[in-house]
Amino acid sequence: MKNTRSTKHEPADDAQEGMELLFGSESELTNDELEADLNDAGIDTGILAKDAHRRLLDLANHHFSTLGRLVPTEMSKALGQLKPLTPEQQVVKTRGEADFRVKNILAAVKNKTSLFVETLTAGTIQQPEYAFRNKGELTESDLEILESGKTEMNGATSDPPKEDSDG
Amino acid sequence: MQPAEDGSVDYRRLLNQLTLKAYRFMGLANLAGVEPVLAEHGASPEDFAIAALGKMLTQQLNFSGPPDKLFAFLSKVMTRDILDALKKRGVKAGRQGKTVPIDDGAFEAPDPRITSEGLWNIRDLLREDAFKQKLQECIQDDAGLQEFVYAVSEWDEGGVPAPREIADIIGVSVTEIQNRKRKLARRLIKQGVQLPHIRR
Repeated sequence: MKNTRSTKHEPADDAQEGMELLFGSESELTNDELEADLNDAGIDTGILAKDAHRRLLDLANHHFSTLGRLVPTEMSKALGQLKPLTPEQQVVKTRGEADFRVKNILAAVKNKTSLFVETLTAGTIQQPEYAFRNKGELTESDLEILESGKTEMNGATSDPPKEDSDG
Repeated sequence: MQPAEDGSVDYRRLLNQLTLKAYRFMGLANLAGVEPVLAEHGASPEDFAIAALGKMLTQQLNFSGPPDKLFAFLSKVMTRDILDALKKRGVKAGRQGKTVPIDDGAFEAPDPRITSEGLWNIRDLLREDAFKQKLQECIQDDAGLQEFVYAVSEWDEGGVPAPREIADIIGVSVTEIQNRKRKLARRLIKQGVQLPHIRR
């Protein structure tokens, strides 16, 4: 049967508009928000889906299967999506959700740890270039030590140790 | 309604949206008292949501638009069904003194005498004294909700203002407006604010 309802403005439009004005549209809510608001209203979304699946299956049987007609694609899709999980599927789903949560926690911990290490390393390890770049900041005694070390090294390279002549 | 990632309809989400819409509508009108069940009719918000979905899936209704318009389409169908059931319930309940199932053609011939045409204009309603008083009682301890309701009731332009427009008037974020709307919905329904002039 085709939809023959007219498009003129009617009380249902006023009601829809008023609802949107005060409460916003349900299409703006995330899945979690929808579930929270329904739970708040005392409606369990799992039971709702299960109930909907049962009634839609009855409708599919009544309008199509028992008449030897093919069940429309969208009806099949809806039934597939609303079908309650078997106990085995429920276990797999719960396990998957738990894994996901644990992975998220671990990732968050790893992220925080790496940030901490980065901060720690940047503050404590001096870069070699720093010493060369800031040579001018060395004190007089530092310069003397460096100079003497330099002389020592030059002497060591220019004066090879003498060989024993009596050999 | 947001379609699923592959562009098809997410029926679980659609069902939840329709049910919440029905619950809010019936709760707002206080048609069922605190319990969200239509008195003398036996139909709950879940019943109306599933019935609307069933009409589309059994091809009693033909929808050929994009998936993201399906929720608006079905919510209008469902709202009309609730209004029609309201009109019917007075007649049937008075005559039979018992509940009636929602699937036995109860929506075919609504009685226009039961509900006035202008009843559901919420903008007018917000200026109606009895409704305003109950609304104020409901939000008197929450300055944020008072601010929001005032901004909405003073909205003179036609149509529904976008959350951004209300947010700009009040000077808060759009997210805050969305939160206040949800909060208001929960409060009104729980406290059973009712529409005036409904014939019971």
